[in-house]
Amino acid sequence: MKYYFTLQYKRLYRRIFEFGNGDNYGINPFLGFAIIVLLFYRFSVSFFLKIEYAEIIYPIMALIIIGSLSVKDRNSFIRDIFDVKKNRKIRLFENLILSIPFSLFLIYKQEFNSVFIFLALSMLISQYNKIQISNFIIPTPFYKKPFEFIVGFRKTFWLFLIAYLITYISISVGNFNLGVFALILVYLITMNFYSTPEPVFYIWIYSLNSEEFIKMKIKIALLYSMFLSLLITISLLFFYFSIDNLILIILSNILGVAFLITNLLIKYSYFPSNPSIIKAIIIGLSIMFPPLLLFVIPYYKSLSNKTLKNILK
Amino acid sequence: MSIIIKSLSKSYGNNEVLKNIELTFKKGTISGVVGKNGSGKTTLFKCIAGLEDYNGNIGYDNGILKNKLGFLPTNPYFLSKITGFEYLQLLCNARNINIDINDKNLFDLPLNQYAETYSTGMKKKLALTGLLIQNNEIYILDEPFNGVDIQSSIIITELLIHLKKLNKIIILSSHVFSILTDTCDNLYYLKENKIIKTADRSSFYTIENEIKKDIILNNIDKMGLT
Repeated sequence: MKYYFTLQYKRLYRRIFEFGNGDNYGINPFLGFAIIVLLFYRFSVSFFLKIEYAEIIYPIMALIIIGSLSVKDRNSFIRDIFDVKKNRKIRLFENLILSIPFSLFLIYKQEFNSVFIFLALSMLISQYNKIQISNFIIPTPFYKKPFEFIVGFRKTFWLFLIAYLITYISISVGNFNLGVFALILVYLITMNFYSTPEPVFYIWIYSLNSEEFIKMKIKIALLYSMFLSLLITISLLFFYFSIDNLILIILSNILGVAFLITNLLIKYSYFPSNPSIIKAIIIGLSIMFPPLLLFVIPYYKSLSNKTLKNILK
Repeated sequence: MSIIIKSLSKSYGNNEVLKNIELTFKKGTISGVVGKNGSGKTTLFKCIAGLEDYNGNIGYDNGILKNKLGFLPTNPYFLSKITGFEYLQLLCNARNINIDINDKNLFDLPLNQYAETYSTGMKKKLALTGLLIQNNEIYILDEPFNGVDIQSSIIITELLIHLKKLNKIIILSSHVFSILTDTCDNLYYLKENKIIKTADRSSFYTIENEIKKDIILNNIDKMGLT
């Protein structure tokens, strides 16, 4: 059992090291741990500041995260190699370890009742390990051009429902800015579709040169992301039409598309690596100063062409 | 129409996997590459497909090799949340092919299910269907019979013979020697980074003897059984 947890620690250590893509952009895992703790603290503080009933929603959110350890496939592995008693102990320890940061923060906020219920539920769900990932085929309108939008939509369709719900609330309460936030949210979600490089086989299959390939990918990203944001754009124009609002809606769409394309180009520029840190810095700087995109996009377009030439000869 | 490989070498760091390989694959022939695990068969296939960089020359006299080649990996990888149908659609898009995919479901696969949930054999059959839909000129099949049921093995064997009749170039590997002797016109024995023996149908037994000598007898000797 001790060796199992040592292995889990090693896996986490390696994952943090490889976060910036190992040898090339690797970060010191201990620095990584410190950053994670800091980010967790910052997130928790702002959660309690901005969300009403945080003392209830925060532990529920934590239980959802902890519940991800109860997935059937993962647990069948543990069940196969350990006996029933050890299996129960391992699952209990796993859930308790993951509960520690959330519990500490709830104690810090003096939410003692929440801590008590949270820990009890966390221990209870450790003994239920049959959560199965659904194989239900979610229909998508993107079947003609697989794959980013099909995969992305099926994984995050509920986020789009939230974005559309926010738009509805924005119209109901007469808050235009909330609607613009929903529009930006759609582009943020679609940006995420391009966050992980696909296996080389899925590029190699194309009988296109690198330039044609990039153009095709940009075209699909433009078409499908605008399709997903169309409902929000039209609703906002219909209910809040004014020249100022029109400019803001157009600008939000242009920026959304520009960031989406930047993400796509960065992915292929460093292919098959996934330099998350570089990407975060570029995107972060561009958010602070959007005109930077005028240089970033052509630069990464040329770099991605060059990188993909090795595969699409 | 042929693929000509000259002085092909491939290294991963200091580890030389292929050394000075010279091979020719002609149209209308089925060529088998044999060798034990880790002998470099998959690396050789990936070099021909253009999925790996290499030193030397791989020439094709009928256009861009990569665009006319279908590669079946040992363990085909499927993206999550993609159905069998969508995978085939992606392969068609990649080559600008417009056909009715449901008509081409050779192995009666459940195309509306997620490909990641398919069994090992079904995944292999889906990947193979994709290559056939693309109507390639060259087929590189790494362990095509691995994990497939008897019925599908029979279909694949018949398919190989049919592709040969259509003058395609077929290169394959298998750890089941009888499959290779039943289907191939030529066999190449890959050992210690090099092709150490080539045989046509009349002399396949020489390669079989060599393999027996190298793999079975040497390894049993090492056991030091008394």
